[in-house]
Amino acid sequence: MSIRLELLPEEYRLGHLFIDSQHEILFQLFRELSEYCSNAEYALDLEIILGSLETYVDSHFRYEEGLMETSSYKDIDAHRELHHVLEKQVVEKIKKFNALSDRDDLVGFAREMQEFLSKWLQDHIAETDRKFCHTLQ
Amino acid sequence: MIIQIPNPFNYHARKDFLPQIQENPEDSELILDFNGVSSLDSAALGMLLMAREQCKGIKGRISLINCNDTVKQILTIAQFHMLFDIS
Repeated sequence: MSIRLELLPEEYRLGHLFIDSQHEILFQLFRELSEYCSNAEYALDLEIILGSLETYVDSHFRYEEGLMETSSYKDIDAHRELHHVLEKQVVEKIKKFNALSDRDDLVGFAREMQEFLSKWLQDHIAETDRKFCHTLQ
Repeated sequence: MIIQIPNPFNYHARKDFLPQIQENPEDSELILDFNGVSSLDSAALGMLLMAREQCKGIKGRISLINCNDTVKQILTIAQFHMLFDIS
């Protein structure tokens, strides 16, 4: 059995099947935002993408934190705090989205979300998560 | 409503799959039939998350049925066994 990692660029792959596969779902949501920015009329509703992100975050972060507990990861508290910050930021983004109205604002917001996820991939996954995954090898 | 999932279930299925989800009647159960599906990728996992979100909006439920062992393993890797009824 294998899951093909087709979307996740090499620099974000950490060598852990479960974590990489879950990160690829985040990358897929990033791609949905790109679809929205290029053609909002035919793209999936932004509300659906944001709701999916909120569900993903909860599921993925709890998985990682469970793995940190079972492996007695020494930096678990700091890593968990970073998760907490990202979760709060997602909630804030959703609040901001709910306050928007016209379509121009929505496309602009989708671009803002893309930047947010891009930074997440670069700072959290490529660096913070990599440190944790390194301890599992 | 029952939707037959195409094989392979990947990004190319997106344009057909997502509009079908929106046709699910309000408050009704949505059943995704994986009979014959032998592979799915992360794009498919993303679509499932979004389908779940759409069902939440119409207060419906979503079940994944006839998943073979490979599909179940992939869903487990993604932690989707925590989010969906899978059989």
